[in-house]
Amino acid sequence: MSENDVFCEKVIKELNKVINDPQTTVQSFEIISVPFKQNKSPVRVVDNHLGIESWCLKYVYQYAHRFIINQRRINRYPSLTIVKYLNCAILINPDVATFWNIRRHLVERVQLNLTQEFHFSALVLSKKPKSSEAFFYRRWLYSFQSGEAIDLAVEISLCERCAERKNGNYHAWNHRQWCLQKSPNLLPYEIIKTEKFIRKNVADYSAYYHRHFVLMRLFDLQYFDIHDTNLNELYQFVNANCSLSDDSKINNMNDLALHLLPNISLQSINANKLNSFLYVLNLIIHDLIMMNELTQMHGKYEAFNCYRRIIIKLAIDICRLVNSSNYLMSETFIKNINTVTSQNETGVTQSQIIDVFVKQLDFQDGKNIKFAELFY
Amino acid sequence: MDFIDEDFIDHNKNNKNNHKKMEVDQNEELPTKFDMEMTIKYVANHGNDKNDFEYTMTEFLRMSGIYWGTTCLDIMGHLDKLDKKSIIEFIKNCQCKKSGGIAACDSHDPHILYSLSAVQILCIYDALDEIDIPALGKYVQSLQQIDGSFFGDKWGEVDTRFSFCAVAILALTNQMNLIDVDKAVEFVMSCVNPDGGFGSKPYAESHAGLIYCCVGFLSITHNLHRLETEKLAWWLCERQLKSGGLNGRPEKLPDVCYSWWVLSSLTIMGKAHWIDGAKLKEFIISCLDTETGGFSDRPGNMPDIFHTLFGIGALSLLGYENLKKINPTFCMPEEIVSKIYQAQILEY
Repeated sequence: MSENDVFCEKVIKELNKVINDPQTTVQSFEIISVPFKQNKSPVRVVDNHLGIESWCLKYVYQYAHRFIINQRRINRYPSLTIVKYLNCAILINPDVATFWNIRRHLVERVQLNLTQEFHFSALVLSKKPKSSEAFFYRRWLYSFQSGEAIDLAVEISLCERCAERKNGNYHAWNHRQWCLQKSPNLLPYEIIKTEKFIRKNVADYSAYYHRHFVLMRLFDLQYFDIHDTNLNELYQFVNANCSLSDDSKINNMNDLALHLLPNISLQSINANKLNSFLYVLNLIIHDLIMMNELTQMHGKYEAFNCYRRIIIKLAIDICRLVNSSNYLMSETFIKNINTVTSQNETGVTQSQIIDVFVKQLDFQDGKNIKFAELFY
Repeated sequence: MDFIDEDFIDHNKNNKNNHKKMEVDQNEELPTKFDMEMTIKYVANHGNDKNDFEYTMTEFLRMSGIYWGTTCLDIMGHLDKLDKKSIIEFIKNCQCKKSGGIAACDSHDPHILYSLSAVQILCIYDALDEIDIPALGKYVQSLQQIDGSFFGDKWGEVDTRFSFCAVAILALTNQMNLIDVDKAVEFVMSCVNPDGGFGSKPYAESHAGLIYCCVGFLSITHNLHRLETEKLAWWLCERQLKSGGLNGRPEKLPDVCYSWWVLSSLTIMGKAHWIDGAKLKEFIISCLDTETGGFSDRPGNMPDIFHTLFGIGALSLLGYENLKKINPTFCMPEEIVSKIYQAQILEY
């Protein structure tokens, strides 16, 4: 063994020891910028944080990489002894799918345990919060978990941390959607969480897009909050925009429903669907107000306009759906509002609220752009 | 067609001056002319130092790297700068005997992404018969799921990129009958968003790279009528920023590779004239690194072969002089694609 090999073996062993030390349980991994060799170990641990000095990366990575590839040439499915080399190589270069795949083989043969693997992939995400391989690996690991053992709220927190650390983190938001598809019961919590996130990260359009996804799913699932029947923002919006005379201002739910659904007989409709419609519409109005607030606070951002556009479109879509079809009469769920309306016939009944939204869609940034034509 | 952008692969993004520039700094002198000789040298010499750390770090996408290089050189009319024989030998060693799929490099696992890159290189060299084409076809077939989507490899990740790779491989190797095309189309169409764009799976945020994959997919399968072209083209146009460069999603920085993803999608839909081509050309050339001849993502950053291909590819779409015409669907020289497969392109 050359001097270089001895050194690399030592570093790899040390890294591995720290990662598997039950006393420390490291939470994060970082590369510390140190351009030249120092007279001490390049592996550093402070509290629960693991670091490696940058000068040694090329030696250690090349060594670990070569070792893994050579092992693979001998045996396509190497034994457990390879894990410490994988730990090192993946932490430095998380994009190598083949390295993750070797771990998958070991998990399948119950040689690596799930808890450790969740921990390791989270460690990788602490260094590279947008690692698609790490997120994909976690989804794959979940297929081995039994129903009760799955706590996707934890997973959503991880997504949130990754999104905080890297704006526009495509894979983190996708992973979050995956969690919500698996556990729709977590959707309502997203209302508060995403608003908080947006107010903190105003230029992160992925968060807005995710919030739109949440609104859409809540409507698809006919969700409403029984403890929060406050529709004040919707009342105000209708009263302000639908040019009603003073004595015909709307102040109760029956009148509101009559106004929004002029062609629907309210006797025989599904109450859940109506409540959910009003609930989601109120949230959309809430968000339109929020966009105005954010514009006043932060000036113009592309994200505000893009978000306005897609939620107004959502408002129009759900208004059209409830007004035009027998949607409110039946118990059945729709699969996805987005696909329902795009396939809908054109001869839909108009109601005043739809015209109001169409105007809002066209009028953007003080300019009149025919978005409604583009959208429909 | 490997991958997309920094969301999928980390390229060397270090700014040469160790500071990040957000947009083009008007006061600094940026290149306004493109010296093809330099760029040819840059691509031809790329990866010559096989002991390089960078070379080891990028081994996992080697096949795509070679595709970027060969395509780039061919577009510039200098394919002869690379050694055809050793490249074909390399590809043959990467085909998995068991699955038929192709890996990025010997001893790595096969994947649909690198299978397409390999097929693209072999088409450029007119050497498809060097590998086991029926076995590759079976591999692609084995990855299709009941809902029409495709896995990228046997581990089960689904992505619209893989749908594109699947039909591109099968079109170039004349084996489209192996898969259920209608179902594949249904899956891709289930990924369309309210803004007209596409993401990596149903509900996923619209992303210009993935829009290219889906539009390219529909172009190959002759289903462009399924698109709401006006709405989608509008979204794509909004990617153009003040600098003339294009980004891939709202609020993101411009990046040379989006010149390709956005412009090729618009070209396929017959709407390339919806963006300012002159300003885009200016932006792309400003990303040329005059020291090496390569292109970077943004002015002043380190160049790499990926951005070099997509810079050159976009310049070709813009009709830049002395470049061969590039096919917007396959990102390969038109003269090669036209002999193999006719993809659907909408009228200007």
